[in-house]
Amino acid sequence: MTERKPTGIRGLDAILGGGVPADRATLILGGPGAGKTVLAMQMLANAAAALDERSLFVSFEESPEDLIGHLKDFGWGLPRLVADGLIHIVDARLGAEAEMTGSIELDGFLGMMAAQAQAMGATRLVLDGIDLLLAMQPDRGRLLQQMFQLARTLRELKLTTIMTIKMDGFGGSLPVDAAQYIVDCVLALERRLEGDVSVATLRVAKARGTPVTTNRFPLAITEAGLELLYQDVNSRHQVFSDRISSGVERLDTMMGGGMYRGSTALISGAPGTAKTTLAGAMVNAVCCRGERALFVSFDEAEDQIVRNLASVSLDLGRHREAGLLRMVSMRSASASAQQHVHRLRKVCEDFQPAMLVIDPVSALVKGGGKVIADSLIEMLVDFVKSQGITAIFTALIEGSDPEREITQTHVSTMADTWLHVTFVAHGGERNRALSVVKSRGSAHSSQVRELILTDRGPTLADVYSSGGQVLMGTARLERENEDMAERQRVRFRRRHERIRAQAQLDELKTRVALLAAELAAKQAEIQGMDEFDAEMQERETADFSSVLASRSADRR
Amino acid sequence: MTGKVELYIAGRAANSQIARRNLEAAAARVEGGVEVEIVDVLADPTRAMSAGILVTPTLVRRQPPPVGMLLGTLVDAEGLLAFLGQGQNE
Repeated sequence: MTERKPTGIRGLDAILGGGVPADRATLILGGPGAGKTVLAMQMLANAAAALDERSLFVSFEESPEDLIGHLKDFGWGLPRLVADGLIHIVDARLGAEAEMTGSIELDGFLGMMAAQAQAMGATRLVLDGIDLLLAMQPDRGRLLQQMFQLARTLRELKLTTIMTIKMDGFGGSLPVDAAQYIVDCVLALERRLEGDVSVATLRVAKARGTPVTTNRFPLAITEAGLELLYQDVNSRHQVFSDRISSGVERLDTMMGGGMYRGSTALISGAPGTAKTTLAGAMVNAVCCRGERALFVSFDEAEDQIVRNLASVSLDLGRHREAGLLRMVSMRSASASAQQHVHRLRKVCEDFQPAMLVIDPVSALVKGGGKVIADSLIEMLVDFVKSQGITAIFTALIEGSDPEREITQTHVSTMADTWLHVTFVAHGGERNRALSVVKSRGSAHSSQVRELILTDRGPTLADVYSSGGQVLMGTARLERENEDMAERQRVRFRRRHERIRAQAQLDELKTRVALLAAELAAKQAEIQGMDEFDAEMQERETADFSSVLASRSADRR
Repeated sequence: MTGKVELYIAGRAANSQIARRNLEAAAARVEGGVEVEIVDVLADPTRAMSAGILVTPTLVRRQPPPVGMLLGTLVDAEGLLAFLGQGQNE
């Protein structure tokens, strides 16, 4: 693999395998306003700031003054870099008064640039709008020959070069064609409208010598310049094994003991299925543990959410005042999805929350096509994982086939846990049924629970299956009442039996006492009899002796 | 008044040499002559750049005014003559 030079542009270096090819030319193609000049200058500014490298910027379209004027508001301090001689801008506008007769050659141009670059010790070169120069050599053979000469010169001078070419629509013009021949790397910028929102993307159209992904990556234009919304899929995320409570006790049980820290959960459901409330309960649990949470709502004011959740005893206002909870409300149509994601990332980096809620994530990706939406969500999920943030995304599903609908948006495959809430209509009622569709790394419940919003927060209740029907709401209550009555009947019967047995026992005891008394009496009676008998015997013997004596009987 | 032009060339590059020959041929036909200065941008890049020269060959007319610029191999002989004599026409 050819040596790389970092561009310092977030995400771009990662997909290019470290940066643009060193000492070679990279081509940036794109329509007007796609960001070619910004991208090119940003690379030079980054190189100056981070690596103290000097650069030559050759501007074929704009005057140096105009260029500095429209790039000065990016946070690079371009006027300073120019004043300090780190970036030298060459005014290469070919005057309108200059006429052309015959053809030119690039030798002179290359010679002058080489001299300038060497004089200032430049290691990088930008040729911005080089198509204007190349168009002056209409002979294809000559042009190609000169382009090879250009490539050779760059290598000799060790100039890492960016060429930009304006390209509208399809079909290569001769300059594009010729430039492509000599470059190792082509970046294609696109800007188009998706709905009402302008979406910018970057694609690596060619990358010699390095395996790169050819996906379209969303670009965000920020105060720091362009940023590629890409998170390296190979980046190692912290993997946590501790679980955090969802704030809904029985839900934790359903998920095999709570959510893993740093995991991502999706709560999907139709409007009004209490998705926000569930997310609020999770936030409440996080804040109650003294950790920070970031609650991002789309198209709903923060205060309204706080008020609504207060009605089910989720006091988020308290956490907000304590500084543990930051609430941010965004308007989905106010910016492109990439700008939203960029802003989210910024807030996360500033606030360092343990939990991030995006309610709903579907609004976030409203301003972009499916491809953009997918890669943005992927990026966002990767980002929160890399930060160890537990993320809760809610997703609004309105159609009749929610499983398919949500699967299409890619969020569900990214999420570690997926909770789905539906309305179940039965017996003239609509009740909320919650199921855990998936929960990675957990033995989760496959049962459906009824989600009930009480004045003590959301809780889950068992649902009854009866004859293939799931009973909820009133039906469940009736069933519960029946059960209760049955239990009471049993209890009553048993208490009754106990009383009877106690009475029997008491009776037996009484009878035992009576018998004991009887026994004692009988014993006494018998004893009395015995005593009487003995006395009688004695008396009789005495009487008989006296009779004998009186009669002087000689018989004893 | 004698005309005065500068031709910026890149060493021995082919188009530069063609332009030089075309210029010399035309100059010989100009009444009163033309003072031609050949500047090799490879030898003196600073001078070329401060004159706003980017590509070679480039012909710059200093006299007669106004200052004008002609790029390329100068293949259009009649056009070149007109360029050299511009402002001088009686």
